[in-house]
Amino acid sequence: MNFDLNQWYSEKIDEDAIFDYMGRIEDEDVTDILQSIEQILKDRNEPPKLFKKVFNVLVELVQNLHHHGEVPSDLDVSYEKFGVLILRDEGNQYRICAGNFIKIDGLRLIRDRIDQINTLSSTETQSLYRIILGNDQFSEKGGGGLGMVDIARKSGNNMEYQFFQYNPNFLFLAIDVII
Amino acid sequence: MNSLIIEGSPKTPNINFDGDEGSFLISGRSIPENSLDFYKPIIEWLDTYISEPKESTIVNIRLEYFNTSSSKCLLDVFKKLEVIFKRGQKVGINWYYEADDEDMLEAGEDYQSIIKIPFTMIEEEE
Repeated sequence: MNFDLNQWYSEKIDEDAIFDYMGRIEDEDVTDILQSIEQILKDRNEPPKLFKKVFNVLVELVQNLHHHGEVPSDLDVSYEKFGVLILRDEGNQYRICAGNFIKIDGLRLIRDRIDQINTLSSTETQSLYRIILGNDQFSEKGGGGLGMVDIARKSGNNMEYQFFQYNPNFLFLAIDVII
Repeated sequence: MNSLIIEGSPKTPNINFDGDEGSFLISGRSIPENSLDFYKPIIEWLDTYISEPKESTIVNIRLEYFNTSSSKCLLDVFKKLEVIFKRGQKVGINWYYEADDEDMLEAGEDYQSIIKIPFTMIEEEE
């Protein structure tokens, strides 16, 4: 049975969800999402250290959606960047869930990347970050492949991920980051 | 030498590069989706500056947040200035971070590990 995005989304939106968004991720949407979440975190009076960590990771995740969020044709929308973002307060931790469609041929690259980062200690993550930062390579999106490493480094936790088969050409990738 | 001044926005930093004084400031947030577009004129301005730099150049970095897309561009800024440092000119980078913001301190240390220009880490009260 194929993945039902709306059902998956509605199951994620429970009483712990303090922000949720599903839809277009153009520049102005990224700005709106970040402003909304910043206000939510401000209202909760989180300590600056935690506030900054959560916000930093959110920036990377939302911009990942902006750069990589594909739109399968049967989604029937008029825009070209699609993503899902949910921020949950689970009492002793925040959980950020970011979801987007990817083409099936991109599966291995992303899965291997996350698996590799998840095996690293904090010192190794820092070293990898510095190697990528100093290597003079830019991706066409300008990020240079640092985003995932930065997320792992700032959160200090392994990224959890799931892939769901959406149709013959697309998968839905859901990444959870805990802070 | 003209100055380069770019007013900040919710996603882009304030830029105040005083070419006459050799005093450069980047402050605020640098979280644009496409940092290459934002930093291109800054890099171009620096290309002109390093052809005829001041005796002493001081860079003050007072960033609240920056994304990974900006981190490569910041490195490019530092690399431009490293050129004149290697020629024997005096260049220094003051890296400000709020007390308790270990991530921002570590970010400064990342650059310090790559760039030969002396860094001064300056902790500020929140």
